[in-house]
This record gives sequence, structure tokens and C-alpha cells, in this order.
Amino acid sequence: MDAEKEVKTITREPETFQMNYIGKPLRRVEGLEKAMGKAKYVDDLKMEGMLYAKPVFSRHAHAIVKSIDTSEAENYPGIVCIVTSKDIPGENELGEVVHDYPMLVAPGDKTRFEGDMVAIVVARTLEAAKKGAELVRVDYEVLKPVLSIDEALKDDVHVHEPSNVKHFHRVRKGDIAAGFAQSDYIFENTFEVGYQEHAYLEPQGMVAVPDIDGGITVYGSMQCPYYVQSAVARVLGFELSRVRIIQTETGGGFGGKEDVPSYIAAPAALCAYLTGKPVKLVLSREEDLRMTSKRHPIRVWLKVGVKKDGTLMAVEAKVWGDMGAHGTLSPIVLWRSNIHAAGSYRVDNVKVDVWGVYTNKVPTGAFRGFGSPQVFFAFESMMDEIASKLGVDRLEFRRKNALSPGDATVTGQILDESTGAIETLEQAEKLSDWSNLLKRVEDFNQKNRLRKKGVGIAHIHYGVSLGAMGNPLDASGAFVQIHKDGRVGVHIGGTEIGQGMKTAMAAIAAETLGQKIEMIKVYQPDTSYVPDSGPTVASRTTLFSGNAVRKACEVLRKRMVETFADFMKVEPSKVKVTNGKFSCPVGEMTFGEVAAMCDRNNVPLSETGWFASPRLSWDPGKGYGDAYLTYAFATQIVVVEVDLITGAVKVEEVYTSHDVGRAINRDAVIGQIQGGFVQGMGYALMEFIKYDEHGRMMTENFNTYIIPTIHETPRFRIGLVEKPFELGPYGAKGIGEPSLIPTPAAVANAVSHAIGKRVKRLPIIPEYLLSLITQREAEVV
Amino acid sequence: MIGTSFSFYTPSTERELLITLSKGALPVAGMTDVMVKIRTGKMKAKALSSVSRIESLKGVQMADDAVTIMAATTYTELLENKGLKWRLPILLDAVSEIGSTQIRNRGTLVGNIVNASPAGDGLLVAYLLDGNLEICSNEGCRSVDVRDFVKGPGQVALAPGEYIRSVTLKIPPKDSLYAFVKVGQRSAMAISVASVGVLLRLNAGTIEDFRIALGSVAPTVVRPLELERNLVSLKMEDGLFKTLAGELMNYISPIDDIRASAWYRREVVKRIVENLSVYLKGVEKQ
Amino acid sequence: MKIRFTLNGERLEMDVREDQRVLDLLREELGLTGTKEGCGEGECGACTIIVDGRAVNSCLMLAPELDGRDVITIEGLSKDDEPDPIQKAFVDAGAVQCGFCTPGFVMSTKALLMKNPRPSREEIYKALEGNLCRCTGYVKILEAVENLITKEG
Repeated sequence: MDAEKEVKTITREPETFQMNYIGKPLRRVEGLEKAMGKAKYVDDLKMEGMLYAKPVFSRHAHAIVKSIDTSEAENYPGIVCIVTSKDIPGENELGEVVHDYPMLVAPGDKTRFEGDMVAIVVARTLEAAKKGAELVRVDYEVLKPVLSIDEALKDDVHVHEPSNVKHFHRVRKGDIAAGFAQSDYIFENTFEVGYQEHAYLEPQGMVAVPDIDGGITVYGSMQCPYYVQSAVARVLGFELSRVRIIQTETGGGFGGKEDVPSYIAAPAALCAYLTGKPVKLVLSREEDLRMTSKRHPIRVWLKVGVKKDGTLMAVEAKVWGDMGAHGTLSPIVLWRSNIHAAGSYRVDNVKVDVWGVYTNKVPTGAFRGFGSPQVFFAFESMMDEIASKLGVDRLEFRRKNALSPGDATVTGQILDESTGAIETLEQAEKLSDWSNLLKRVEDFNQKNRLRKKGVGIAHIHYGVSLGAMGNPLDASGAFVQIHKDGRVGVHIGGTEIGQGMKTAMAAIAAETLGQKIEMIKVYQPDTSYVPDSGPTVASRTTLFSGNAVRKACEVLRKRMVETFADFMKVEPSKVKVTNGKFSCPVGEMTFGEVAAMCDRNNVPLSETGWFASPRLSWDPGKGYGDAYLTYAFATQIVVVEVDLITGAVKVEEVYTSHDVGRAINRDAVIGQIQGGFVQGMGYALMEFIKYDEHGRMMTENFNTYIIPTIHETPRFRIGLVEKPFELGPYGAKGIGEPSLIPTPAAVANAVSHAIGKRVKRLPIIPEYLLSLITQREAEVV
Repeated sequence: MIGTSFSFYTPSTERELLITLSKGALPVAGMTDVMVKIRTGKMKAKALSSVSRIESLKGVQMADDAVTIMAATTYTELLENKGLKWRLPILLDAVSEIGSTQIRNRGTLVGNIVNASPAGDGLLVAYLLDGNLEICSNEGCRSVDVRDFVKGPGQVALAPGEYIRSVTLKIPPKDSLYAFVKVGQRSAMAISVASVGVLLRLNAGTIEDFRIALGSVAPTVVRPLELERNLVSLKMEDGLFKTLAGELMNYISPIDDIRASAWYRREVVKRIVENLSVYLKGVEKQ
Repeated sequence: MKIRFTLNGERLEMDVREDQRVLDLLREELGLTGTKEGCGEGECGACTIIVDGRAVNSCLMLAPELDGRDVITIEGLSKDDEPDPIQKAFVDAGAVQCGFCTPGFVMSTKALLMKNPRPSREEIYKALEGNLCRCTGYVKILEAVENLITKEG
């Protein structure tokens, strides 16, 4: 292809070059099964006697359920039973983090969005279940819905009592008033960002099975088996030991399968428990769009003070996030907004406040970037605005204020040696040939009247893993077993959701043990093997599960080395293990032969590994301290072309540099960066959710919720900055989210540059852009 | 699972088709829209009868001044038909932007016309090329102008027991310039938010023939015949398209919907027409 | 309704429901779950199969329409567990992430290359525009297809 695929690395340790797998491009270990159609996703499971469940969703965004009449539905052929709130043996509560989400709305209670479930129909066929769901009669008293942040802030109609508005988080650093007083210029602006749907290609679903251990086993599409386990146990009133969760191959997550799978597994498990049969509950695309979480619409007000020389003096931010009908993960998502709202630069005076507001719409939750792409769009737009007013180069302005090791972040955290902020700025500058790029674009614009190009830049940081708010969850386990034939089984608590977890874990196990990667089997996660390992979110799996695997493998390797050394009668220090072979000065054996020898000598060849996050010093009351373990940085430069006739935008070129600590699998890292970019580009340019005035979602399938196709893919040049993070496995920090975070900001800045007017809203659909273009034309005339 | 039950016939002759229609079946072709409508509950058919196996309803027939496209001919078959490349390039431009390869492998131009969506790209071209339908039933066949056939969004003058055999499109005058401009929400696989089709023939700077059709800006495709006639014999001058754009605004009545606002549709059509010269192209030589 | 058709080289005769989608026939009746349902509306292409040499969305097609046709699904590409070169190319290029869209992309690619072994970049785009992928950003998918063309040439 003519798209340049060059990957640059500016700092790398020689260690990498001596390794067999780490840092190399690796073929995905489960790739062929997927490409051949053999991999089993949840809807591919079929079991003897399996029944089908369909939820009865509320027809109203905000209404009191007066009564539920199931009699007609019960008499429909093929219906097995209809489940309502009275059938729940445990708690009628689903919400992760915030507990305000009933699984089935009971008569007398309120439905708070159209995706709230009132009943579940269980039938012998999917068709009968669907028909039955249509025949359940629910009598509602319809209430006025709250459908926007503004309506919620009025607080006259309450979604939840006592108020729609919750102040969640703050940052306080220095003296904000003094900071502004010392500034030469003060800039102020408000930015608005809309919803984004994850649009994983596999709709959500679960199969729940009464198992031979007297409990319930749930198979399904998910990121977080341990969340699902807790939810099922809570709703059934079961002990955790009677609930076993096994992840099926999962067709994409992006955060959308963090908490939501719990809300599908629990109803499925209840149906299996009540009927004694396996029950499948898979959402249609329409149901998935209506019911499952989205990226938070966020409003950001920003005030930034600078000196004439371009020194950032003070940043004040107010952030309002639309939580939808249920709190779910909002407090932790908006916590990331809190930490990232004041940007990625040195600034001594900071004040940030973050509120969540309830509305009668779909609950918003986790989505790649977790509350940060929205605030970076605002902040990086301000950076461009300021640079342009000061008449300085945008990249130079960012470099001047960028963070280096030893500097303090906006929350006062001192940065470690792995901080590669400036390196990413310099690499992106080089990759894009920055000054020539600006000239090239200017030339084009002079020659063209109806098409204009623009260059955008964004510089971001990303707190690695869950951070202080998620400290109690931030630990992961692994269980590694070496069979007597030398094959290695790896069980971890993190999940493969397409990001390449299995390949990364296989590489770490192979590298640490000295075995060949094709001899490593990474199993589907099963909660009965590995203790609670927290969620597969926050780009944390390589770091946490990877460290756990590495630790378990180090112990096993030591045992095998000792056994081999003992047999060869040499010192263990004389033994080398690499590429499936043990060797010492007097002889060698294959990995399998040593494993068999260990087996004969009763040397235990299974081991657990555990990695926990150190405690962080964050003080939520003061809004100051260490927020995350460490930070990953990125700088992204994009070139867009705007059609001034229609307001359509095409992203043409991308130059992006990511500070990843260490790339475990270079191919997978590049794949994450490309995929994250295109998903972020969709968010910036075309993706939106629309509701009607009754609170019913109008964007009900992929014909109205529009995501990028292959035609929209730009040309990429990607660079990696590798400054190893001391706690990361082989130095890795994570890439899943930083791949997307800078993109909305970079694209918006490029569009603003092209049209000569500031974009303040996302997505930049042609309609919005044309309104800016026509305003601009009126100003120029 | 489609979620509703119905009968489905696959007749292999027009005679068999008529029998199924007399039993109350609706004639269908590629079903790329019908299946979606059934799934979403927007269409509740008791019986469907597919024309796609009927040999006599396949193919394209060329005459000197017109092209007849049979009802079961897919978009892909049109795109692969070499004779259409220079006869009706504007049709191929429009068809190549409909749906995806998978959709074009099944969907038909006649189906697009019966669907009668104001956003139908094939329908727009049929308006522009003075399309004429051959509609048949047990009583025989009749010929109807596409513009008379379409009554409103999704509403057509097709009586129970009738089916469409073909659509005949007139080949534009030699050396016409043409443009098909589609505004969608992305660059492929998009439904038109607004669309403009134009045919223009000049003779020494004077307009000899002018046709314009606008999609998604009114309950049906708009073809302002009076305005077109007024342009004939005028000199092709700067500012002409700007004037035209202004006048066109009186012929359209766009609405706000999920894809775009009325304001945008109006504005974008105006801007496209003002800049028509950017989009106009000539027919490649045979 | 009784239909006869060829499925992955094998001749079949079976009773089908008239209103059954081809997708459900394959997945539920024949156990061929490699063909996926992502949207049910012909927007995502995860259910792409090849009928008489052309890629179609099996979610928009009814079972009786298969009568007399030659049908290929993702399961039909590999012979005795030996993957098709397209399947290998996708894995080699890193074009597979979550994998849910992959069978559909492989089938669209197959249909393209059956008709046109040397497609241009634009022809590849057109052939794959009906397949959505949310993981890869399409870059490595394009690479996979282009590598395949170069290799065969």
C-alpha cells in the first residue's frame, strides 16, 4: 500500500533485541480460529433443552409502572414463564459502583429510561419469546422526562431523589485567583461533546446454565467476569462460590462490555435458576443500542490564564457529565475527566470541579478513554486558540509547557522516568515534517477556493490503569500450569476482547519460561480458576495480568532450572533456557523433557501469580496528590480536507506518537493505534445518538448510527516512544485507550484550522460545520 | 430471526407470479429494503412473491433513444453492463453509490422506484431520465410515467395484483454534461441526506437542454419542469447557477429528520447548485 | 418448502420455512455459526456469504431463494482444516482483532478475488465497503488484501 507504515522508535534498551518475543511483531495466537469462523462467540453456543429469553423493556423514558399483566403472554404457545421483580430471590439491584439500577422495575416503581426492564419472557424458541414480550401488558403513568443536561440542572423533575445533580470530584492546586491575576491573557470558552456508541460488532449476550456443582455457570461476551459474578450472586442470593463465569470469545468491548454484561447475565441467570434449564439472552442490535451504555455527553467550561511568553499560569474547569438514568460507573468515569480536564502541561494553579447529572436516557459508562477524550477536546482546542492569539507555533507552545520527568502534574504528582511527553512531541514533529506540512497545506489552500485543508495537533496524557479511585480493584492474578509434555496452560482474570491480550500473555509466558510461544495456551477466563482480578479496562491488562503471569512463570522457571541443574550436576546459574531448550555446559534437554522429569520427581509445575497496585496518595477532599501509577503520553497530528460546499470532512493524514513504556507485541500496538484513531475519528466527525421528545432513541441500528467504513481510513505514520516503566512487565504501560484519546481534539483542531473558525462542539457533522462556514463567510464579506 | 411469519413464493414465470399476486402476495425483488422494513415492523406482509427467478424479468434492452431495465435486474448487473457506460453514465454514478456491494448484488432499480423514498438515488435518476414503467396484471399491461407513479413517500400507484415489468429510461441528448451529487453522512454506504442530479446540453454557450432533480428535500423527488424550460435558450453565464439555486428554493420543502435538518438540506442544495460547474462532467466516448 | 442447493461443495436437499432468513438456516439448522449476525439490516456485513459467486448479506435473504444456488460460507473456504490463503493473509497482516467481523470480510474478499484477481485499491474499497470493523480501523485489513494480490502476482 502507498500509505506509509513506518514505525519509529526513539528510545529502546538493548535488552529488547535479545528477546525472542517481547517487542517483536507477533501473529495473534487465536487469529486463525477467528478467521476460519471456528471461534465460539456467545450466540454460537447451543445446549440441549436451551430456552430463549427476551426482556420486556419500558416503553417510556420516565413512568410509574402501575401494573403488569402477563396472562395473555403466558397463554401464547411456546412460552415457559414470565419473570417479574417478585421472582427475584436476592436483591433487585444491578448497578456497578452506584446502586440505583433495579434489574426489573416493580409495580409502583419508576422506569427511568426506555431500556429499563419490566419483565423477562422465557420461551422454547426465540420467536415465541419475542412474541410473548409483545403480549405482556404494562400499565404506565407517564411522567415528564428529563432529556438534557440543561433540563437536569433545573432540577424541577427528579430522575432520582433528592436531586439530579451530584458533585463528584475536584482538583485544587496552588492559588487560582493569584494565577489569573498574574496572567497577561485570560481565555474562556465552553465546549460540548455528545454521545458515542461502542458499536462493537458483536451484540451483547449471555447463556446461563444450571451446572453440575449445584450452582449457575454463565457464558458470555464480557470484559469483566468478576463484575458479572458479583451481580449474578447478588440477584440470585447465591454465595460467590456457586456462581462461575466463563468468558466466550468476545466481539469487541471498548468499555461497552465493562459493567453492562452484568445487567444481561443477571436476568439470564435468574431465568436459568427459575426454569432449571440453560437460557440464552442475546440482544438484537436495536436492543443493544437502546439499553447499553454510551460515552458520556459532556459540557466543559474552561478558563485559562497565560503569560505573554506563553507560560501557562492558571486553569479552571467545570465539567458536567450526563449520566443518564442510572449512576453505574459515572463516578469513576468522571474521575478521569477530573484528573485530565486541566490538560497535560506544567501549571501551578488549578481548580477543577466535576458534576454528574441524571437524565431519563441511556446510562452512560465506560468507553475507551473514560471521560478523557471529551475534556482533552476542550483543553487542546484552548491550547490552539491561545497559540493563535499569542502568534506562536502550536507545537512549540505545547513543547514549552510539556511535562518532563521530575515535573509535577496538574494534581501535584511528581512524574517518573518513563515520562515521554516531550519525546512524543518531537517524534510527531519529525514524522509529520511539521514546518513543511504547514507550508504544504497553506499552498493547497491558496490554490483551492472550495476545498480547504487544515492541520490539527493534540498532546495528551493518560493515567495508567484505574488510579486512586479504583485502588481496591487494582490487582490481578494468574494461574500457570506446565503439563508433563511441556505445554503450558495460562489462566488469567483479564479478558481477550480483540486487543491482543492472549498473544501478549503468551509472549510474556514464553519469554519468562523460555518456552516457544506456540506451546503456550491462554484459556478463556473462568472465575473458578483465578481470584478476582478486577476489570479488563483502563488499558491495564498487559500491566496487571502480564505481571501476574510473569511472576508465576518466574517461580516455575526457577523450579525447572533447579531440577535440570540437579540432574546435570551443575550450578543453576550455569543454566540457560530459551526457545524451548534448557542448556548448560555439559548438556541440553528440551523444555518438554525437563517438564516430564519434573513430573516424575513430583516437582510442582503449577503456580499462581499476583500483582497489586501500590497505594496512591490521592486526597479526594483536598483534590490533590498522586492520581495514577504513572502516565502515558501521546502527540497526534492530523490533516483534514473540508468541502466548503457541503461541510463534509475527510481525514487524510495521521502522524501519531505514543509513549508506551514498552511494546510487548509491536503489531498489536500498531493495530490498537490505528483502530483507536478511526474510532475517535468517527466520534469527532459523524457518530451521534438522537432522542425524540419522548426520550425514545431514534438512532436504532447501524443505518442511523453511522460509523466509519473502509473509505474513511486515512494514511498513517506511527511512532513509538519506549521509556520502560519500572512496574510494567518488561516496562509496558498500556495502549488501548491512549490510541483514541487525542483524536477528537486533533481532528477538531484541524477542522478549525481549515475553516478559520473554532469548532466548539462534537461531532462535527456537516450540518454543524456548514453553519460555521456560513458564519465565517458572512464575517469575511 | 425475522420475528413475524409470512408466506414467500418464488415463481419462475410471470404467469406464476400473477397467481401468487392474486392470492394477495406483494411482488418483491432483491428485498434489501423489504427485509429491513419487516424486521422493524414498518411492513406487515402476509405474503411476498419474489420476481428474482423470473427469466423474462431479467436483463437490459437497448434502443436508440432509450434503455429498458427489467424488474429483476440487480444494480451490480447494471454496473457490469458495458453498454450503459456511455448511454446512461449518470445512472451508473448513482447506482455505484447505493448501499454496498452486498446490497447492489441483490437490490434492483425497479425496487428502488417502488420503495418511493424521496432519498432513493435510483428514483432520482428515473425522474431525471423521464422514466416510464410498464405495469402488468391479469388485465394486461399499462405504461405509467415514474412521476405519476410516485404519490408520496413510500406511496405508489400500484394496485393489488399488479407488478412492474420494467422501467424505460430515455438516453439524454448527445454530448450532454451530467452530474450526480450525493450528500450522505459518510462517503459510502450512506442514505442521501440531499442529492442533486443534473443534465445539461450546451450549444455554443447556449443552453439547449436542462434537467435537474433533487432528492430528500420534499416528500418526493423534485423535478421543476417549469424552471428547466425557462433556462432553455439562455446563455451559459457566470451567476446563472446562483440565480437558479435561489429559484430552486421555492420548489423544495425539506424536513428535519434523524439524518439532517431542513436548514442543512436547503443550504447544501443551494450551495451545490451554485457551484454546479465543479461537478458537471462529460460522457466518455464510446 | 423443499429446496435443493449446493453448500460448500455438498449437495443438500432440505425442508425450510418460507420465512426463514438464510442466516438462521445456516446458524440454527445447519450449525454453521461462522457466519455472524451484527445488525440484521444489511449494514455491517458480518453475515456475508457467497451465492452464485456474489457476496450477499444472508440476513436479508430468505431460505427458499437458495433453491438451485451454489452457496459458500466461511466454513467452506478451508479444506481439511487447511485455511484459505485469504484467512492466512488476514492473520499474518494483523487484520484480525476481536474477530467478529472477520468471516464477513474474508467472504467479501473471496467474492472479489473470484471475479477479479487483480483489484485496484478503489475496487478493494468498493468490495469491502459493506463490512464494518470497529477494531482495526481497516488499515491492516487493506494490507492483508493487498499482500495477497502482490503474493499471487
